[in-house]
Amino acid sequence: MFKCRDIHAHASDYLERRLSRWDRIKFRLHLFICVDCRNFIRQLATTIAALARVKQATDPKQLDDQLARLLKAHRADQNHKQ
Amino acid sequence: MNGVKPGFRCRSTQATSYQKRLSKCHSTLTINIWHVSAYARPAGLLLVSATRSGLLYRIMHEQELVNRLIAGDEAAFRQVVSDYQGLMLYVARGIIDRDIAEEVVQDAWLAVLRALPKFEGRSSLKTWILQIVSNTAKSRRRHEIRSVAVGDAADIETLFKADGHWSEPRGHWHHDTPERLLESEQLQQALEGALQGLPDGQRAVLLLRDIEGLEIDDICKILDVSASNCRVLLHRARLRVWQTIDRFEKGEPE
Repeated sequence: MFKCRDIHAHASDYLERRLSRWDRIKFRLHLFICVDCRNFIRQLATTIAALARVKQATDPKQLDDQLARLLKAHRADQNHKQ
Repeated sequence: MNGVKPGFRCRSTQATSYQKRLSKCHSTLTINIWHVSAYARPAGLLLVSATRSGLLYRIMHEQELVNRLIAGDEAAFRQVVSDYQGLMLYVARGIIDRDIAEEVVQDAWLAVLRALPKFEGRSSLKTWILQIVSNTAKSRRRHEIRSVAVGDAADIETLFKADGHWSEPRGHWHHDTPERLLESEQLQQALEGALQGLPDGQRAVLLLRDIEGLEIDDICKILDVSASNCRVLLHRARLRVWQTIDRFEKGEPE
């Protein structure tokens, strides 16, 4: 039988359906009887769903520097070909 | 329309390339449909056509972007650098030492630029670019065999009692949906802080999987880690982010 600590350890594998069939049954049995773990799993799923909406912004200065370097390299390449 | 039929047969090599990729995808999907019952097939066919148009959109959009990059279009360069620069840096840091990661990203951009005419769209542009960063980083690494340090798990000992049960009851969060979580500016900042505070390996896996939506297999290839290592890194990273939100919900300082 899984304990709360095991639920915490295998939660990602459960959410991504990577547990073996037997482990999945044990996991679900524990969730059935444990409201704390049900809450935890719901919170972890919410965390993952929230992460999917996070947009990583590139630092504007870094963007400009990189862009300038890249365009320069591209033009040098083009000139070399000609 | 210059007398040419709309569709995929109108243009020479590029169109042939779209057609090949689409027909490959279509045949796989067609086989899958026949596994569903006869009653569900019309719905399945609709799904195929929707998936095809989505895939077509991606392939055409990316090919157009690639053509613009090859032509030296500044707006196209701005778009790709803005989309991938940060991600490339985090991937590089997940593979090699922090101090040479920026240099590796710089080299990778040049490699991307040179390889652009060879981009065939077998994977998405994002995966293709990240694979180039990965190869550039790996070629700079001194040690061949590697196992990424998985980093500390979130303070597990304080979370559980000796008998394996939670040390305190787990109540509901006030912000209990992703939308509500991201409504709070303070919480967004806390999330950003949590992402920045993750060890490099954990952060790279979390970004690629949960933010960028890559498959585990692709992440393993990009970061050069085993599937089990990757799963541990991902889970630990998620637990840290979860713990950050949990502390925020309880009003505890980070």
